[in-house]
Amino acid sequence: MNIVNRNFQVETASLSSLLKDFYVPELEGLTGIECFTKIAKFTHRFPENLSPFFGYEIQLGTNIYQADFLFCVSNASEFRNYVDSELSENGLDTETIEGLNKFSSFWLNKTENRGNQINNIWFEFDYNEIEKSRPKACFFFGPKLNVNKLEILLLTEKVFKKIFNKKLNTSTLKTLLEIYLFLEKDSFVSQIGMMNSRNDENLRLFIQGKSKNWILPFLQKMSYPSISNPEFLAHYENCVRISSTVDLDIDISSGIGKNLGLECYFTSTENVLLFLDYLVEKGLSTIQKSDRLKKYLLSLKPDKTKSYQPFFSHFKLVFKPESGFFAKAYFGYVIQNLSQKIIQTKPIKNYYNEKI
Amino acid sequence: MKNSTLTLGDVLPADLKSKYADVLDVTMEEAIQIAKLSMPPSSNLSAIQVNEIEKIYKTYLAKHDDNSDSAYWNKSAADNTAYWSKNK
Repeated sequence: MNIVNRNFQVETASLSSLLKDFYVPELEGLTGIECFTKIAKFTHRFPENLSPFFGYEIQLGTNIYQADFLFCVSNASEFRNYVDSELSENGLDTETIEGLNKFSSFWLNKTENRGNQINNIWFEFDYNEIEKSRPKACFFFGPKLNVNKLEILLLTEKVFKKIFNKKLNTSTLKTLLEIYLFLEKDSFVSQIGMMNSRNDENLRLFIQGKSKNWILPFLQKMSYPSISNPEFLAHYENCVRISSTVDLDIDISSGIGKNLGLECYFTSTENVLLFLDYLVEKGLSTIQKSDRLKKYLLSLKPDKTKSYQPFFSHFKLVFKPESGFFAKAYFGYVIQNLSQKIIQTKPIKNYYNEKI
Repeated sequence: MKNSTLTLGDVLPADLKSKYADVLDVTMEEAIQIAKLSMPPSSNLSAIQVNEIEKIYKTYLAKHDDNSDSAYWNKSAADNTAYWSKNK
């Protein structure tokens, strides 16, 4: 699809044009205008139909207004088309384009089987990378749920060899298999990633549980060393109490890493607001960020006539035993036909007009 | 990329290693070909070893049912809309 910009030039619709279409002043209050402008410029290279789901990650405990940018790709052919366009424009460094080229062929099953075991992929660009001429990405893939776990190990080995030319340690893959054995029925690893831009070669796993309070028993089985940390237990209990679901992200190598993230999702906006108040009370969010996020939540209006829906996704509490907790918020846009599956938090109705 | 050199012995936990000690040198690639695709094993594997490989594979079967009927990322817009209409 092509659109005509303000200078009456025809340009291909991109994630950048979507971000601009969905711009509301309340968003600028969270990302900052300079950051929003840079992300809008950066995302010009990604075609609109590449991603059904994309958005921002912001830090809540600081008054620095910046955001990281994340997007999902679920269609191997669209991804291949994007990589072809990058190949022809020659705008990326050799290492990056080689990885994208190899991985996209693999995902399309052009070179070997197993690519069709991938459900979707995610790219995350830290803000400091967006500012660079040759930004590096963190990369995640979601294995399909019905794939045998032994095969997921081989899949993981191949994916990171293709995309980053990294050979995973056997001990890391062994830990991954151990985690699969410890997960209860209906819990699953939704994403397997590598924070490549941070020079981290551990695997990062996003794990979704079925029961509400599944994380603590799981961490006990995994002999997580900070399981008895009082601060961890207090925040964990409040996450479980206020959220509708809590997912876990962990780093693994020869065992489970000491840092982890509690991903808190909510079905009601009232509980999102309650959780924000909790974060402010505990010093994990500044009042200014909390107020600005509340204003943004209020500005979200479902519109089924549009191709994408803006929405609030979740909070993440990151726990680092040596330095404590910090909090992040995630919000973005999802393609209309996936919105019922993805959007968990019901939009607010005239709740905060008088309060903020 | 060459085939993976990862073996069952590289990744199995200790309890399964002692239980299936005779097949630890088998590569994951071959184990999956035998257990999933019923491919003929390499000539040095006995019927008992093949049976053990099949048991290991079953241990790691997905705990989820095949979700072919669920709304899914890589399904078409029409498929997803049909799914959500049906499940409202």
